[in-house]
Amino acid sequence: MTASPILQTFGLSAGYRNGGKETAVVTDVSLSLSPGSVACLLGPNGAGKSTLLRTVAGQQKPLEGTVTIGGMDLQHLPADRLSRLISVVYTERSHAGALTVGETVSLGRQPYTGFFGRLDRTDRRIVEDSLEAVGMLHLIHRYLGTLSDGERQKVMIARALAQQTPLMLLDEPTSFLDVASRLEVMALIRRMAVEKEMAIVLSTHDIANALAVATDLWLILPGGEMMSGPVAEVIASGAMDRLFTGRNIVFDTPAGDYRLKE
Amino acid sequence: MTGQTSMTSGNSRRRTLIVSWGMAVISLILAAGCLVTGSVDIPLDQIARCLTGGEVEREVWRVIVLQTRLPMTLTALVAGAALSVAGLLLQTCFDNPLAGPSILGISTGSSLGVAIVMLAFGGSIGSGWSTYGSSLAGAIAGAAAVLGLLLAFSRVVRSGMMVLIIGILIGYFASSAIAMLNFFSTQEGVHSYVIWGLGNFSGSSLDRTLAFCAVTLPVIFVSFLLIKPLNALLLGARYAGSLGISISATRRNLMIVSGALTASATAFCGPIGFIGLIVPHIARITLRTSNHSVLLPATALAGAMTGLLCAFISAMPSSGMIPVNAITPIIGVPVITYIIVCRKKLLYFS
Repeated sequence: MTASPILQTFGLSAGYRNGGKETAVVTDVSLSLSPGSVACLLGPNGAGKSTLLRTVAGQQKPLEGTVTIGGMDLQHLPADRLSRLISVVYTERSHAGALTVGETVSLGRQPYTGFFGRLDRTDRRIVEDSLEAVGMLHLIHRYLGTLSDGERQKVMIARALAQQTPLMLLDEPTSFLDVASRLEVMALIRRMAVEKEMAIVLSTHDIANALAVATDLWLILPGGEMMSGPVAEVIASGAMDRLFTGRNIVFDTPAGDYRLKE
Repeated sequence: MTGQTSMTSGNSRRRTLIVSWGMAVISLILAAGCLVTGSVDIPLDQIARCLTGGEVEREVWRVIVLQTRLPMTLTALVAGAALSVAGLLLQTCFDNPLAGPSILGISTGSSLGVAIVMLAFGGSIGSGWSTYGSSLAGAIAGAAAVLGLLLAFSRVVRSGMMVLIIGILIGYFASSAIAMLNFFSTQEGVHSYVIWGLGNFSGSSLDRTLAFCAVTLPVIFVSFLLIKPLNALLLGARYAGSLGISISATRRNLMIVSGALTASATAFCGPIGFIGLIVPHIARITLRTSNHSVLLPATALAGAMTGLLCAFISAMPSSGMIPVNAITPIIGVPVITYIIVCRKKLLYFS
């Protein structure tokens, strides 16, 4: 992991603008992520994980500072350029149940297709490859509405893969999934990072599974301060115990998960 | 009806073909039905001669076919397609399957615009082009006002259902303004407005109908240019944004096109309920897809078919015309009830 970082933030503050009032959820954040790395974004509910991800995805303006991808400031990239650099996977359900799996993943080719969104042979091959990568190619003609939550999430990941971006952001990709699907999705994330040299950021509450695939940890600590670095360093710093200050849990390093204080 | 990718199976391509051809054939039969049905019995061969410009036994038959039945058929076809496409665009735009031009108050807004033109300025006295032109201007202004309000409210009120209710309330507000205008107007103005308000495919001459088609058909084709962003919106606004689509520009374009279609149809035929709400569902259910590259043309076709069905039923009694708005609920209410009751079984709700 010596490649130069694909994603960097400089003095980034992310939060909401409501009227003239700005409410920052994280302040003065400097993060970086290299191709092939998986950063796991952790923090209590309401800490601002989704806000930070939206800001990094370029879907929300930073309050201060900059986000760069491949050295380019997101603020200065037009939407169509951005869509070839960053893909996203959200938890929220869409009303696309009457699209087939193939049609859904094809939407990931929109940044590359022409005015009417028609696919050429290369696009079709990429759609099939993306489905193959998540193990869903055999369901290509099935309707999205007939899939289980786990299958559906994998299709949404295939859709993001078809976008062929160097950076993928996943906002709680495993919530609502059963334990088998959760493990499969995490393994898939690891494989995408290694095989496709992608930089991946995922926010999650599934700490034990996430630690198994993460190379980097990004912690949103109480007060909007962030702590980031390679997994081992962050754990050794004791920051994991500051993550849930005031709650009756401690981080059990050998187990790689939180447990109740005795 | 091309545009489906290899991402759909042979089965669904076959379904698309069968359903589209089925709708086209039914539309043709209904169009023929509209031309032969009416209070005067005209032999079939004479109707054909009227249409092809041949010799006719009685000159009055030519007038009936060319100046009454043909305009009604064309109006029903184009207005049905326009309202249905408007409904589909609104349903995708608001991510709400119960959206539609009448339920969101856009039709009523257009009506208010027409009422102001007809009643306040006495526009009903004009004839030919000018009546449609001034009604159209009023209807567009009314539709634009309602869409502007809806857009503003949808920024504050996030819930789609609440936006729908606000649309219904705006509709009531506009109705009340229309009632006020009626109260303070002349009797002739009120009479022509009430007739218009009942919904009518057959109020116009051939010239004016052709003008209506010339205004409306291009807008329907413009809607086909929005297929790519419409499909992106199926995943929700945030996903669409990550695909390089400008959400605000797409919403604005969808509202302009659906508003123009609603305004044009309303100015010409009066406020027609239910067609815009139910036809996109009929298309989705029969074609089993939400993919707009198939769904949008199919909705236009299904809308033409539904418009013709309403026109045909309205022309059936020998004693006169049944108002279109007496017919649309009879078709629309069962369909929409079925959709609400069976939504768990419908793929496109999940």
